[in-house]
Amino acid sequence: MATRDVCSGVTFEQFTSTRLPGLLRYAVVLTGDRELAQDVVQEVLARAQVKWRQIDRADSPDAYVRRMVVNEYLSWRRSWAVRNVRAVGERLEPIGDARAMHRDHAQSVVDADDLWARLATLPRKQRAVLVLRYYEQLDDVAIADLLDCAPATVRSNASKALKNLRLTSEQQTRVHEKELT
Amino acid sequence: MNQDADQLREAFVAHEYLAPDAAEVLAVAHVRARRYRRRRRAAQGAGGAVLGAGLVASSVAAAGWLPNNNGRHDGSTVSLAAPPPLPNPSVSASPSPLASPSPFASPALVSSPTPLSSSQQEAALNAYFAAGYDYDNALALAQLWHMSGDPTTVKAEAGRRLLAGQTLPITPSPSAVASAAEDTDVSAFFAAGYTYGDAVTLAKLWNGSDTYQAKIDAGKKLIAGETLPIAPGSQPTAPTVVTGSSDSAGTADLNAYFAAGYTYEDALGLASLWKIADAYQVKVDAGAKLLAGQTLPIAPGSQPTPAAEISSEAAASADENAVNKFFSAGYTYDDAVTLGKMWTVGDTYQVKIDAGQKLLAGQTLPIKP
Repeated sequence: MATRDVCSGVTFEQFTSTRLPGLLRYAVVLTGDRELAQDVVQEVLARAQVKWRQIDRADSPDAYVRRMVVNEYLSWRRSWAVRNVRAVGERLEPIGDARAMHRDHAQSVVDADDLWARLATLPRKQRAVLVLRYYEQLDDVAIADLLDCAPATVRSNASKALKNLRLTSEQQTRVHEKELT
Repeated sequence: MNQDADQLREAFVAHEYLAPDAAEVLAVAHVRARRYRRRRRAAQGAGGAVLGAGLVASSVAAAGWLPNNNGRHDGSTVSLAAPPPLPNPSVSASPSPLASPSPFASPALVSSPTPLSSSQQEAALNAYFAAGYDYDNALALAQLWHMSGDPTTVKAEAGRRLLAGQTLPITPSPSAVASAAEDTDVSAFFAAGYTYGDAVTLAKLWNGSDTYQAKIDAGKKLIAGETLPIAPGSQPTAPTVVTGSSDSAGTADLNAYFAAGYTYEDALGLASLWKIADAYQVKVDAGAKLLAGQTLPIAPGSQPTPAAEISSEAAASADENAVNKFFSAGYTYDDAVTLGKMWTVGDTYQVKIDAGQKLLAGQTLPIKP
């Protein structure tokens, strides 16, 4: 959690003035969808504002609100998925490709977009685990606490997510090769 | 595996720019907060029995609604959920009122949730939310049913019962009912072919800033058979990312940062050196310095990947081996559930790992495959 510090004893307005931009970036990475991120954070902030006294008593209001965001995302029931269909790029390389360390910047941008599109195909919980582990830099015990499950379940979700990302990539590469031949 | 982590981080940070506009989000949040306060006051004013989920569940047990007051009913339940370390953030503003005690409450206990496929689970969750239940209600149900662990499992079990025509022992909270009604409106909006871009335009036409509210209002009109002032899909649907001059500059700074070979871990290192909490801002600042011809205090790629990440991947691989061993020995999901009850482990996946590890160690399990 090197990217955050503790900010207790602050008003809701002080909190949003300093933390909202980071919270929105977190939400968009978590959801993979700008509109959904907006809906989720709006909803969370509305509820957080109503019970700010309770949140401010927590050890870290920032962590508390981020937990609200991930819970809101995981239980989001509105039919966003149907309007979130994304065209996944044709040219994909397996995640973990040995060339990854030596790609030029332009290639990195293309790869990041491809991977972003593949991430959109993951179940929400698997995606959340990857975001919490690799973007939020949380360890599996902290993620398990956040998601209210066992660390083994976190590892299982992460493992399945990485496997799914590789499978998607391999399938598409195969389709692409078939098209070429 | 570290390359996976690097690629994922790159993908994540490369799309941070999609973050919505903070001022717009905050304005809408304020409007909704006022609405929630009004709802809460209305609920309290109605004199309903508004009790916290935990309190009510305790009262339920104490009143003898449960077959056994000691928290166990048939010896087959998992342990009672421990109270969370923090007050749960997903709990809605107003606590969930529970139904008054009734005969249908007592047989509602769950010995073990019925395993559902992912599509069945999705359908069950949809049914749960469509009936107006929320996260708060799931916590109450978990206590009534003595289920611990993932609240999603509780919601799915409750949804499965609703789909089977059964009644749940609690009533939905008023805020969740309102939310479910909003869902119907929003679904009608999208089902008619309207898009987010359309909602933005409608919000402007109706002198509002809340695009979500516009979707609700529009959906209500559509359900009522009215027509909207714009055609479905007539407005731009692509995300309208704000690309003002400062954002463009920020993007250029970010590009410069990554083009120089710096990584996300480097940004964390710089954040620590510069005492800046926001790693994104660090990257922008660092990129600006690079563009200005300055050098950074650390070399590109010099910051190590956290050791915890590497060890967690190794643990994941060991878990997978154990689970594979469990299934290859002929055991099934139901066996794992049975073992979980014997070992009082609520997490079935953990049971499979424990059992698999025993099998790998040459031990036998207390049940046959």
